[in-house]
Amino acid sequence: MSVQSTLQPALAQPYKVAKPRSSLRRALIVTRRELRDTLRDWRIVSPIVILVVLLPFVLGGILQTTSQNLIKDLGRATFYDKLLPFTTLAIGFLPMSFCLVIALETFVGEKERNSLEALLSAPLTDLELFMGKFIAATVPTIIASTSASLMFCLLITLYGQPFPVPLDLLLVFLGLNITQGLVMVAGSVLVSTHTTSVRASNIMASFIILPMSVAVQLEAVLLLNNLRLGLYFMLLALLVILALLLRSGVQIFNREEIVAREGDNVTLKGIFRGFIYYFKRTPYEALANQKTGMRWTPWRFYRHDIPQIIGMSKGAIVLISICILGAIGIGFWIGSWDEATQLINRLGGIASTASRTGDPIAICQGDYLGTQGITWQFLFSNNTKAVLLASGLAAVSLGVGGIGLTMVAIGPIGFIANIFLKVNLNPFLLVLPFTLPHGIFEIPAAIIGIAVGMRVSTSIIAPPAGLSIGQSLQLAIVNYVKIMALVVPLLLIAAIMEANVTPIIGCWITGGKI
Amino acid sequence: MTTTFNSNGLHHVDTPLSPVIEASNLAKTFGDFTAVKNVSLQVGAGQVLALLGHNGAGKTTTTRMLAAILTPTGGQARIAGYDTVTQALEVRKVIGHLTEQPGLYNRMRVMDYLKFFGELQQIPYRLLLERSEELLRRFDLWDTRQLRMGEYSKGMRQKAALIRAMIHEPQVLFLDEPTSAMDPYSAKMVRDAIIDLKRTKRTVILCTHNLLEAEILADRIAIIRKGEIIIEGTAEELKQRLLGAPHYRVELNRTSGEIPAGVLSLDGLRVIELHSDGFTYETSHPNFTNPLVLRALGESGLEVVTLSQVSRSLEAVYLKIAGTPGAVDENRDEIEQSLLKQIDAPRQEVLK
Repeated sequence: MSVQSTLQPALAQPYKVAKPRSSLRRALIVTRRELRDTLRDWRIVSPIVILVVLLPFVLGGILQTTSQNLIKDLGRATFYDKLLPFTTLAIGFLPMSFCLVIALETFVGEKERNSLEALLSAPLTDLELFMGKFIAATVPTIIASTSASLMFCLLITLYGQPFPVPLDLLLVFLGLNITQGLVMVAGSVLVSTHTTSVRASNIMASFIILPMSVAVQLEAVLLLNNLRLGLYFMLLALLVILALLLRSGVQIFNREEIVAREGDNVTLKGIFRGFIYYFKRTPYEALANQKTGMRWTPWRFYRHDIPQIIGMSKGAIVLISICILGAIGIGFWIGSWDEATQLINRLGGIASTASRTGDPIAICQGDYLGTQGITWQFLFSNNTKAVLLASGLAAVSLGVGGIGLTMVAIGPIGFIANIFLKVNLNPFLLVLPFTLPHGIFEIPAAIIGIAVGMRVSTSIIAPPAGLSIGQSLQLAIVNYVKIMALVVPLLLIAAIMEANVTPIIGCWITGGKI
Repeated sequence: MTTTFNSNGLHHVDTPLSPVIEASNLAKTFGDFTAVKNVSLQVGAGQVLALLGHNGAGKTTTTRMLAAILTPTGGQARIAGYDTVTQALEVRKVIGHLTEQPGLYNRMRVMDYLKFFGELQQIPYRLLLERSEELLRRFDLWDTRQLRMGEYSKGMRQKAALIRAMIHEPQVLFLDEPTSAMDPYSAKMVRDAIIDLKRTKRTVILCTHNLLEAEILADRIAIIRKGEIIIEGTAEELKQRLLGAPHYRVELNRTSGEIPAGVLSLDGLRVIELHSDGFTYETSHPNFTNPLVLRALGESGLEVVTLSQVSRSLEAVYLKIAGTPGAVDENRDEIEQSLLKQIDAPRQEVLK
C-alpha cells in the first residue's frame, strides 16, 4: 500500500490547542457510573445512612428527654432560639465530612485501581471528566447533609416540639451547608487530581476539613449572637471560594499529570533536600524546574526572590486588601447601629472635653489611647506575633482564618470612624495622622505576610503546572519563610515608628486638637 | 477517514492513501528524564506494528502519546488524520486502548461496564447491546456476565478490558500486552481476534514482550530502546539485517559418501557448518544458489533427503540487539530470562 504523509514538514511547538466543546450529557454519563459505584459500596453507604437517619434520631431523642432540664438551665429562649437551630446546622455538617471520602477518591482512587487510563482514553474533554466526577461526589454530599438537617427538624417536630428553625433561617442553613459541601468536594477533587495515592489524598483532607470546621464555628458564633447578617456574608464568602476552587480546578486539571505522576517517595532526607532545592532557586526558577542561574546573595534575594514571591501572590494580596477595605466598611456600618449609641455617649466625654477647652487632647497626652509607656520592642513583638498568627491561620484555612482575624482587627477602625462622625469629630484627622506613619509599613507587611501564608494552603488545592502537590507545598512554605525576611523588618520599622514617630506626627498635624 | 454507523453494525470507511498512524520525531520528556525521543512511525490500514523493548524502554509512553493521553514535548502525530494534540477528542473516538493493567471497575458487571464505555463512544443503544453480546460470546465471557468483575480471574479481566477497547469498533487499536496473564486457549482467542482486526483493515499497535506472538501477528516490528526506535522492519527484514542472509540445511543420505569440495565452494554460497549427514550454508540469493547446490549434489551422486531453510526466531534478533555492547541496561540477563520463559509456552501452543 502506498502511503502519503499527512504531517506538516515544520513541526510547530508548542501547540496552540483550541478547547473542544464540552457536553453536560457526557459528563453525566461519568456521574451516573460513579454514583452507582458509590451506592454499591456498603462501606460508604452505611455510615452515611447512620449519620443521616440514626444520628438525628438519637440527638433529637436526647434533646427531647432533656429539654425540661435544658430549658431550666439555659432558659427557654436559648434552648429554642439558639440550641435547636445550631443543632440543625451542625447535624448537616457531619455527614458532609464523611462524604469527602468519595470526593477524595475520584481520581487518585481510579489511578490506584488502574482504571483511570481507560477512562482517559475515552472521548471526554477535561471539563466533562472533572465535572462528571465533581457532580458525582457532590450529589451524595448534598443529599446527606440536607437530609440530616431536615430529618432532625422533622423528628423534633414529631417529638412534640415546635419546628426548630424559622423557615427563612432553615434556608440559610441549607444554603450554608450545601455551599460548604460543594467547597469541600471541589477541594477534595482537586486534591485527588494532584496526589499519588488515596492515603496521601486522605492525609491532605485535613487541609480541607480544618478550615471548614473553622467556618462552622464561626457560623455558630454568628448564630448564637443573633448576627444573621454575618451568616449571609459567610454564605457569600463560601460562594466566592467555591467559584475560585471550581475555576482553578477546571483550569489546572491535567490528565497528563495524573497519568504521569509517580508515587512520592516521602523521606525526611527527601523533604529536606526539597526545601534546600527550592530555597536555592528563585521562585520562578523553581516553578520552571530550572537550574539556578544566580548565586544566592542578599542582593539576589531582595532583588529577585522577594519581588517574585509578591508577584506570585498578587491575587491573594488584592483579595486581602479588598477584605480589609470591606472590614472597614462593615465596621463603619456597624457603627451606625443603635447599639453603638452607648459607646457614643462614652466617647462624648472625650469630644466635649477636647472641643470645649481647646487644649491638647488626651490622645496626645496618652491618657486614652494608652500609647504612653509602650515601647517599640513591645509593639514589634506584639505585631510580629499577630502577623505570624494571622498568616499561620491563613496557611491552614485557605486564608479564611487569617483574613477573618485581620478583618476583626481592622474592622474597629471603621466603627470608631463612624462614631467620631456621629459626635461631629473628623475621623480622618484621628485615623490618618495616628495610623498612617507606621501603617504604611505595618499594613503592607501584614497583607503580604497573610497573602503568602494563604498560598501555603492554596498550594495544595491548586499546585502550579508541573509540580506535584508535595513540591507545590514545599515551594509555598519556602516562599513563606523567605517573605518573612521582608515582613519582619517592615514590622520592626513600623514598631519604631509607632512608638516614637507616629504620636509626634499625629499631634503635630492635629496641633493637639481633633 | 470517516466512521459511519448503520443498522447492521459498525463500519469504518478508511482512505488507504494516507497512513492511519503517523508519527514524526515524537519526543517526551518528564523533567530531566527523556522517556521517548525521535520516534517516527507510519502504519497503514490493516497493518499490525509490534513495539518491542525492555520494561521502561518507552513503549507505553509512545502509545500514550498516540492515544492522546500524553502531550508530546516534541514532534507530531496523527491518528486517522487527526492530530493527537489539537484534535485529541477526535483521536479518542477512533482508537481503542487496551492498557497494560486491565483496571476494571470491580463492583460493576461486564455488561454495565461495556454500556458505560459504549455510551461515551455514543454507540446507539441497541447496537451496543448486540455488539456487547457478540464480543462477550466470542471471548467466552457471556456465561459469566452476571458476575461482578471483581470476581473475574486475571485472564477474564484482560479479556473484558480488550472487549471494552473493541466495543466501538475503533479504526486503531493500541494493545499493551494483550495476552499477558491468559491461558493458552484464551491467548489464542485474542490472537485470532487480532488477525480478524487485520482482515477488517484495523490498524493495531501491539506492545509485547512475547516475541513469537509479535512475529506471528505483526506486519512490522519496531524495537525501542531508551526511548528510541533502533530498528524497524518486517520480521524477515530484521533477521536479514541482524542475522545475515538466510541459512539452508542440506540433509544427505548417510550412505552417499563424501561431499565434494566443488559443491562447498559454489558461487554465492558460504558454508556455515558441516554435519555428519550434510551441511548448513548461507546464501543471499536462494533462487539462484539452491538449484545450483541440488544440481551439483546430484551430479556428484549424492542423495539429497531434504533441503530446508533454517528457521531463525525473532528472539535471536532481539537478543542480538540486546547483546550489542552498550545496547542494554544492567538488567539484561533478567530480561533475557523473562523473554525466554515467555517464548517457550506460547511457542508450543502457537506452533500446534
